[in-house]
Amino acid sequence: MRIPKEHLKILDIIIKMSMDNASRSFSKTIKRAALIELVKTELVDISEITEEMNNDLREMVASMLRLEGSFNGKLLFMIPLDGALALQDFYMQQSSGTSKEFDEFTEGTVQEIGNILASSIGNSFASDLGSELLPTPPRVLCDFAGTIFTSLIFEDGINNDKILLTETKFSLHNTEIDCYFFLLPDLDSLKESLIKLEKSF
Amino acid sequence: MKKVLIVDDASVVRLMIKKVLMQSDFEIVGEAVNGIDALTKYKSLRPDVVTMDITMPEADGIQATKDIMAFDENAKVVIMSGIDQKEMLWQAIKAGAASYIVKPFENDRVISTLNEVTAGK
Repeated sequence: MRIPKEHLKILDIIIKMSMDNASRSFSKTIKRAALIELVKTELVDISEITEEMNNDLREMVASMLRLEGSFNGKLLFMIPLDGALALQDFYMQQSSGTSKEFDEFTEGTVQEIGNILASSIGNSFASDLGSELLPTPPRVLCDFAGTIFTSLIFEDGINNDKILLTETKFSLHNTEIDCYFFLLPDLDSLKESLIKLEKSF
Repeated sequence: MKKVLIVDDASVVRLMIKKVLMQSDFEIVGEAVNGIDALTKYKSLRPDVVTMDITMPEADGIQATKDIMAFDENAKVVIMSGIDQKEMLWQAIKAGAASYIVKPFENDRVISTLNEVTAGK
């Protein structure tokens, strides 16, 4: 599986712009400064990334959904449980430390953050590619990082040994919360979209 | 007081919209978690206005808006969604939505839009 360098470059630029949009939406949602930075977009070995996730033994809350339209893909936003509780307090405008246990509002917060991130990315891609890219309703999971990541990878069955992963870093209101944020585009449909975009320049 | 039905699959979003509307002249008569639930609750509660999310399980907000408008052509539905794409805005208008607010929303914008829509502006 190969992706032309130019396509990776285009993807990197669009994702950076998407992250800027997502940062603004995220900040507005939690009423605090939030910064989402793109760490890298690269083709990775499924076995390597799965092993990395399996080594993270923290309990996580995750929002997983599909993006459908100009290309298809999956998106996973995953945050450690204590981070999710902090996020819930930000979102619900409560004093820090109010939320102590996972409940329907923790689930709802992570669900909505996933939705807003996916919509920001969809909106950026739709604006750049000139067609729709819509999120499906998020599914919220609470489990270990490795288990959640495995279900992301293997849910639809993946025939390749490499996947395109976008890795990002979150900073929230002077607090480092090391959330995981992965975008896994379907490579064939993405390639078609990028060729279309390249031709439009 | 104007009666509002809040439709969103995320409990935390319903709660935040409720908090915003309770500061003004609106009465929250019900909440629905998907498009099918929205139509059922609309029929039984007959609200003056509905706030409608788009991305929901079972039936999405566009379908629910169509269904509500088919049941009551005078219904007032305000879409509240993170999706800011021309095609979706067009679908919402075609479905009969009275207005469209992009999330994350400004509290004042929600109140003023609902006031305008219920006043028939």
